[in-house]
Amino acid sequence: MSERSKLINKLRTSRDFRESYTRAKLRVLVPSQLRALRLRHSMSQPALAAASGMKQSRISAMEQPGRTNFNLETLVRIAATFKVGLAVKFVPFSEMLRWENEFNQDEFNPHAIEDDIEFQVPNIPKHVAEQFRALVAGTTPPKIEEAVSIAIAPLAGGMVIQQSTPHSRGEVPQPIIQ
Amino acid sequence: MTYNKQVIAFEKLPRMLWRFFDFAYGPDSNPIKEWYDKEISDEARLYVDGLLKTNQKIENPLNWMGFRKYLKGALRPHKIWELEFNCDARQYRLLGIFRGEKIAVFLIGCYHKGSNYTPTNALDTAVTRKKKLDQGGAQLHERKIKTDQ
Repeated sequence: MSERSKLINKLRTSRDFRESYTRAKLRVLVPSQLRALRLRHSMSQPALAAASGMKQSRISAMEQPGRTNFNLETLVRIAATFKVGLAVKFVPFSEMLRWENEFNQDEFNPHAIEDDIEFQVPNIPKHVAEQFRALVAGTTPPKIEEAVSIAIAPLAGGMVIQQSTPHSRGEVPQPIIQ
Repeated sequence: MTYNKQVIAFEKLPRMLWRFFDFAYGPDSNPIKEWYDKEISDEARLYVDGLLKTNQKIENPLNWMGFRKYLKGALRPHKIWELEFNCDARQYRLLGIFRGEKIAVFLIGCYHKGSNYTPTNALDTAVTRKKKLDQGGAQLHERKIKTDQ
């Protein structure tokens, strides 16, 4: 029996193992997200502790795999501190595995409310939001009011972003400009 | 001003992932595998797998989940680090070293409580194995990242 078959068999037959499986994944991925958010915001552990009203030792423990039993209220508080939402949902094992496989701490970057164009501009086409993100990648995003003034025009070879008005804060660096 | 310009996004180049290896005396003598297969619980094994899967993508090992900097004191010159996780009300540690580009080698798996390791000679063993590796008297067995589990 292959290792994977054994795992599937254990998941099917043992509730304890199912608990272990989920617990082990969550207790690595949740601390990893927390660290990613903190680093993304260039915050030290004491700074995050102060911003979230917790002790630094607790932040440190929360970033250690398996060290902390997270409760929802703590996660909500952390999410609020970083100005992001929090999704807790029951999923098939396949979805949990996919999440784990695709998760990358270095690239994890949920947009804070100020930069969350899809939340602030409901019904904005997905590709427009993506273009917007590409445009502002690596720089301070323009204000949402400016973002909505971005016009999309089709061109051979793809979409083009045109800003109808100059950026109020000056030049917006581009990845490549033709 | 740089508006009204076409933007072409770079296709993102895949970054090299970290690779993790077990210290082994020979083809059939891998103490890390032995520890992983026989000495730790199912849940601890899942932690190890999950940590490696997550950490392989993290460029800077200082940001790895569970990474503890080089051991201090007499062990400092050996640049042995620890990967730590808590499971089964125990603190597990994997002691390792870096070797070559994006290669991490595990020397021993153990428990830690207070300032004590179990087995008690874990640190000495790690140093001995590192020396053996340096002298070419040991092998490296790659630890597979289980993306299907």
